Amino acid sequence: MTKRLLTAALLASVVMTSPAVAQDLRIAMPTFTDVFHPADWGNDTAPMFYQVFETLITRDPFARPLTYIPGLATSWKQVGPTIWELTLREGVKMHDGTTMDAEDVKASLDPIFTGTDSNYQSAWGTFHYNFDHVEIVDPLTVRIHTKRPEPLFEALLSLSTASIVSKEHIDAVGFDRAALEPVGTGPYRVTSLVAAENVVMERFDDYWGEKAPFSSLNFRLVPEVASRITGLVNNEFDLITNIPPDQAPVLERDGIKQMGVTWPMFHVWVVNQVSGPTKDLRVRQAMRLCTDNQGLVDGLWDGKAHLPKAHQFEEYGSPFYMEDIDYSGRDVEKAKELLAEAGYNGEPIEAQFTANYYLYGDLAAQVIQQQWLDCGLNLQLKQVETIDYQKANIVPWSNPMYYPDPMGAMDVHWSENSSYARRGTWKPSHPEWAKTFEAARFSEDDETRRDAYRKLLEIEQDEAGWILLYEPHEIYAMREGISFEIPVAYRPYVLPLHAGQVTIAE
Amino acid sequence: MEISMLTFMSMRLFRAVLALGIVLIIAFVTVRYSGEPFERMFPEGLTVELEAQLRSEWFTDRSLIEQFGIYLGQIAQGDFGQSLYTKEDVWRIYADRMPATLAVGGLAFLVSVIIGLPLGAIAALWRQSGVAKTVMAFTFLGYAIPHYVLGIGLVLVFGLHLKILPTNGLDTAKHYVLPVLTLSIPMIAGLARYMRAAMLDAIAQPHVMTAMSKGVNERRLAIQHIFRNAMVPLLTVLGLEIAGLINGSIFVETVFALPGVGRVLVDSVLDRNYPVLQFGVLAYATVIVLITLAVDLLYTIADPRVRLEA
Repeated sequence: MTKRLLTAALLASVVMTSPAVAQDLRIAMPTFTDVFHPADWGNDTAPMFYQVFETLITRDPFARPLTYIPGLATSWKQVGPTIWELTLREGVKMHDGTTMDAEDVKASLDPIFTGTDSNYQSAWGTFHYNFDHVEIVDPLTVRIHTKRPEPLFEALLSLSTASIVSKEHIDAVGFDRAALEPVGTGPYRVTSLVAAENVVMERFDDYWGEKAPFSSLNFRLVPEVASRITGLVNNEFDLITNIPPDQAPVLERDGIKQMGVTWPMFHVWVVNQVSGPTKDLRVRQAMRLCTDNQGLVDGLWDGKAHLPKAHQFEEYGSPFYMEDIDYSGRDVEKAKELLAEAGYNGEPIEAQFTANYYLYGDLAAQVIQQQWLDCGLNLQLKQVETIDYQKANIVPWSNPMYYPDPMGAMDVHWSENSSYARRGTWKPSHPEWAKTFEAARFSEDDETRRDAYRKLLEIEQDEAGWILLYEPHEIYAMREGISFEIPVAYRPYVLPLHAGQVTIAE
Repeated sequence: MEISMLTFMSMRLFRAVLALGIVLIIAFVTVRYSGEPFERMFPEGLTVELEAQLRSEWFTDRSLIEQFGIYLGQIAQGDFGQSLYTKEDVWRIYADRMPATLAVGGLAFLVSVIIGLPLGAIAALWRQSGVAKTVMAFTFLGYAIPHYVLGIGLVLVFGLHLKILPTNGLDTAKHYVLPVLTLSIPMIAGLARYMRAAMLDAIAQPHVMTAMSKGVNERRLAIQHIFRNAMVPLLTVLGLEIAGLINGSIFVETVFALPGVGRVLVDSVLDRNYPVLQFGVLAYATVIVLITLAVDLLYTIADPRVRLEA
């Protein structure tokens, strides 16, 4: 009897894994979101939001250079310097059964364009500060007004923060509950959500596009890497994320596939420009010159991380990525000269860390501490509960690329609106900085923006307000039959689980 | 001076409420001194205006005494507050996650008592035998390994290599095996060691020696004279072990990805989620106080000589 049952189960599993028949996908991740609303954006929400929420304009996930495709809007055109008109897709059902229309678009985007409500302010200040409001022309036509002409209109409108949610739902239950019972238009709808634990999604049968390939997705928080790996090997999960490269040998097993990915994201040390020894420009430049990035890439990441040559990513593609720019390389002698000029005499430079926030972050700090001894730099590492941004000379951070454009990492992290600028510790002193930044952000043709960006990177070499460490490398591990490509047009951690994006073979 | 049960109970209750109050004040003050939650909520930074708005919304711009007054006022109305992050009622957050913690912790306690006490008794009654020595060696090991190491070790052996037990969540009965083992192995070891020590103490009592020399039936001797006397100090230990279970559950819930309250409590500390932390600490302290109260009462049953004293 048991044997017969086993055979039946085996047969069933064969049928289940054939691409024609849908199945479930169980995903284990190390960090997890508390709330599920587009205004919340981070590495932990990216893989899930992409399944549930959609934007008016979307990106071809795999195309390079970047290509925009119709999403919830079927067409869009600029009708004035600061006005864009969009035609909405007809008959798009939302997860609460209502039909998407201009009212939903206005209710979704206006708060993020004004940023007055604290729930939306982070997304507004980071991305959408130049947008003004949505004007409803008719139920299927909207006009989006920007404050100034916006060269990045499509890039910013295709960010997950600009997703369309149901007005009726938010009106009925309020923002807080809607953030726990999300309603979007995507190919999967959330059926159960336990904050910071688990999210279950089901295929949305009324989806306007091609139906999703999985009948359900089950995202679960599994903080321990050993538990994630064991869960995959043990057939408790089908896909596990954020596996550090040193775990690769453990995953070399039959039936399991690994996919390494080097994200368009820098791990960065932010250098305090206004206090302590790092106030001196020459000390900052010496710190940068004394850092052996190649040593970090080889020693910590087994050569799998990328060596950064400047604050730009290949993902920008043409015409923005400038291959000839290379500011990498260590020069101990030059660093020593600069330190002597500055009169630096071993004063402690304090780096503050919170425990294990960035993969290998603690190890990198210890390696750099040794590297800097060669130049006479006295780096003190301090693990703290809360970082004292005014006192710390160095704070670790990451700079992901949110959209494939020079501004996709630069504007978010280093504009005058950015967090370190607001804290006052990032304060570029170069007289040309603000003007050049402005040109790189708002010039209307691509070439001007690119050339301004080149100049910006040059100026930044003098400022030395940050130290790029590397572009980190991580591993996805999954059942042998699952295949997908990394969606290069989107920010790191987006998981492509829509129709046509993932194949499930036996 | 002997006092009535009623007076005894009301005095104990008064002390319990006092203890809870002190615990609450400590939690309330320390979490605020450790910093504000806003930075954690908005890792990309927030504007001065937003910060001011959030401060006034959650009263962190007022003095500690004012804040505490407001909080007590809310408690008095049965409102323990909402999570600063998800805005869910805090009692609900704990209520939703309590079953997982209770199930795993309860099972672990049961298993530990059923295995640990007899093991300790065996080690005491036949203390020169090979079995007793093996038991003691095991208990030494079990007592020395931290939950965290033990949990990961079990995951690697039974999950990764042998692939015979699931290691994540609580979906089926099989899922309980490893988390319960992780919690109960150190507890079995602890209980066995205490049991052995308590029994040896009891054996050394003059009345037991007398009974032995009189040739009292061995079974009767073990149960009536030794075991019963050993139970008194053990009750205290059992109470402490339940408190220890809650600590252990924090690790076990992380390693086995269990939806329990331990992890909520730890996260609330890291996130400075004041209302969640305050309620968690209060609930935890209440459980401990109730256990202590129960142990005190059980004393009077286990040992009639223990009288209700002021």
